[in-house]
Amino acid sequence: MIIPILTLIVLCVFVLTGLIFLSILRLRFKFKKDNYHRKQAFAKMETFLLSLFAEEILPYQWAVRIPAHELGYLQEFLLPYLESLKGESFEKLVAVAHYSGLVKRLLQEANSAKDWEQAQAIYFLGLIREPQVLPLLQTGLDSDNMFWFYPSVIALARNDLQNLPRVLEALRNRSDWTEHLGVSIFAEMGEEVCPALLTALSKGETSPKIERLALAVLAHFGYQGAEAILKEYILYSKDHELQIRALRAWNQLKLTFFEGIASAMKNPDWEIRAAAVTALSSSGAVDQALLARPLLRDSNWWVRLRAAQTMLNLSPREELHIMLDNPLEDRYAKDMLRYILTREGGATCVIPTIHVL
Amino acid sequence: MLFQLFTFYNWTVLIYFFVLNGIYLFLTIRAFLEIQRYVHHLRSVNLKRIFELGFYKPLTVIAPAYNESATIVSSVHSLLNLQYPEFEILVINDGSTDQTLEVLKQEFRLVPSNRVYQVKLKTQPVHAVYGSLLFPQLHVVDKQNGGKADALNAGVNFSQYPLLCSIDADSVIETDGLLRATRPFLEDKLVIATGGTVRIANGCKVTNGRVTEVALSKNPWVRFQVVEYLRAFLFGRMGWNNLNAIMVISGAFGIFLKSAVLTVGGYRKDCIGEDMELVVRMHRHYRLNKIPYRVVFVPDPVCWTEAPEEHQVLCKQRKRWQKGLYDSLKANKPLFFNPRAGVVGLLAYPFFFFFELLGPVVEILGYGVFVFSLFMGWVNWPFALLFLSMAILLGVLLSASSLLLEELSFRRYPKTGDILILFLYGILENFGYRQLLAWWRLIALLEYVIGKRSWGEMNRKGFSTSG
Repeated sequence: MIIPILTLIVLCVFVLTGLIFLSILRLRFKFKKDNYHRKQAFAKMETFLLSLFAEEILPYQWAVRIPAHELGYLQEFLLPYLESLKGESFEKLVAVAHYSGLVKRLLQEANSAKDWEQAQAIYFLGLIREPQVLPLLQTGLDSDNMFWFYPSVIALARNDLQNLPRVLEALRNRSDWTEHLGVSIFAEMGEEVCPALLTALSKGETSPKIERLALAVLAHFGYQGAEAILKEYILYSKDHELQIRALRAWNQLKLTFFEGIASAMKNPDWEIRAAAVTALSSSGAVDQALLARPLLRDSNWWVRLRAAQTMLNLSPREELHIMLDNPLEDRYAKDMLRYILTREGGATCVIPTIHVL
Repeated sequence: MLFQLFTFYNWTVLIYFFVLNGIYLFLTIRAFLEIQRYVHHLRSVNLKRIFELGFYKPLTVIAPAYNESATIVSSVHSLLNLQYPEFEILVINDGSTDQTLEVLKQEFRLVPSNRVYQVKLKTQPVHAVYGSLLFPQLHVVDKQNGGKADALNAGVNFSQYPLLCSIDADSVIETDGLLRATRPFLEDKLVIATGGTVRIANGCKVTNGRVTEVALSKNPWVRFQVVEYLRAFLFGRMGWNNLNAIMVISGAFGIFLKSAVLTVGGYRKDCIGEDMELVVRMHRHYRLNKIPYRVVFVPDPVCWTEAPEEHQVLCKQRKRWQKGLYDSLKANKPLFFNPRAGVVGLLAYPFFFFFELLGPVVEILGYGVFVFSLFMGWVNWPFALLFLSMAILLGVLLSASSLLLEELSFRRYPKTGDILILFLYGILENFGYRQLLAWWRLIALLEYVIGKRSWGEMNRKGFSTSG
């Protein structure tokens, strides 16, 4: 009995190995062929792109010269340009996508059964703000698969600011997105999203993850109108993470010093202290520089580092050197000041060894 | 009686063989699914944007160096070429007896520095710390020899950033390697360690510390190792990835959360395979204390390393690995079949124990028993031939699957000829190379048991460079 079973297994493994070998060869061949065609198509498209931007040809004149089998290459070629361009150039490329039949094909692919094909199509259609894509997004928004959800929500965000509540709802209902992904989604909506996010925050947003995201987006766009809400978070939020975000946003927005920062510098949480002393640094409040001094003796390395950076930004250098020369000054504070002075001094200013090791 | 023992052994080996290959099959299928998912995922990731938005975590690269004068300059240049928003490089000269420190001093204009640090992990005394006048992010710590683990611990003490990247000083990381390998830390706060792929650089062209042309070495020992590495990383690590049961993050390229390394007490100095031991200890600590965590393998960041070209050096390396495996498993025995340790305790640890550690014993004993039964006239020839064919074919199937995974994903070898050669070596390794490795590993086990635990040195030739 065992011999026939073993024979069968050997045969199966032999056939499988052969098939794998053939697949490797096929993939190689396909890749080489595809690479060759791709290179040729890209070279052609680059010429057309230059002519289009030089106004030597119109979008439809480029579009009619693209054979149906090169639409995939066109999609790949246009993507980075569409992601980075704005205005008239952007519109011209969108027109090429329409006239060439690419949009029509992508709308079909957006309904296809292949998850990845769908996701790519949706991503592209969202990028060109194709209104017909909106009814197709629900499947992606409900999908458990993050890589299907992401292009859908980004397409939704790109289409209209009015979709903000839907985007927030989609994000609120799931936990598998990360903050940078969230910020990239809102970044698609542009700075106009900030007042809408502020309204959401002031109406009492219940999800801390969305709150953190909103604070990160406000900081990302450097939205000055956020001052009041940031103050509120710094002073009253019981969520440490949110307080840290608010302080970081304060720092990024380079807002002026207020008492809440000084209180945050006494917080038992070292991350809050570090964020607060950094916010003090960016506020440029020279008259408050002394507030950073006690933090030079902090038990946490990061707090000491940020305090030393703040002192360096806000105090005259001579003062730092006086501290360094003071034999009564705390050793850790001096070590950090020396470290920061060495680092800020640049590579040519390495202080000679003084046996601190 | 003897014949009954022989029959019993045959059945044991047959069951062992099927269980092992069953697990391999399971891992291969998982690896295929995982790699497809991963390649798709990569397309939706905009690395540049992630790092522009400032969500990165600053990182310290720790490169322990012991007698690496032949390769250290190109390695450090390669590290300086890395793309990462904020990082520092710590080269730890672990009491080299060659010109390593002098070469570094001359090439990078090192001067003594007064860098402050806190001794969180005990190490051998530090003689001096140097900063580079040319590259502010480069620091060299010169310390008394204490072994690689000790050097890494010194690096942990000196590091100022929350992420640590341990690399071998003779390795070359691709320029965007750090960006790619640290991505999981940004996507999931539970991630405590990630490991990238290690590939063999022999035969490749290295220009200014970067691999500029990927090609296969002509040395047969190296070619066998290329097949092995592909198998180990593309199907081995990838297969275990989704189960959160990766037991090894190669010392040549691993990124760790500093706080997690300190929590478990840093690298163990009395251990030969300090890289594996650290990861197994992390599993043990986090699993047994029910702390959620993830150890992730990321296949796209690549670290190129120099492989041994002579069998004597290869023998030393493999013995060291086998002893390291024994050490790591022995030091973390509480994981063995421990249901509290989940999949690590019930599947990964036993797999490494029965199939990786004891594999050579079973294999070499099998050859011995075969010769003995031949002598006694007990051999059932049809069965023996079929079994042998199956063993060889399954070995070839695994190597071929790894090559297919490579073709489906990263396609690093541009020449079709190289892939065909690798396929051929995937067949040839079953006729001598595999047996030789099993023999070396068995010797290593015996040496370990009798207390011979030194790990020898590897002589480096340096990369073939240009530019």
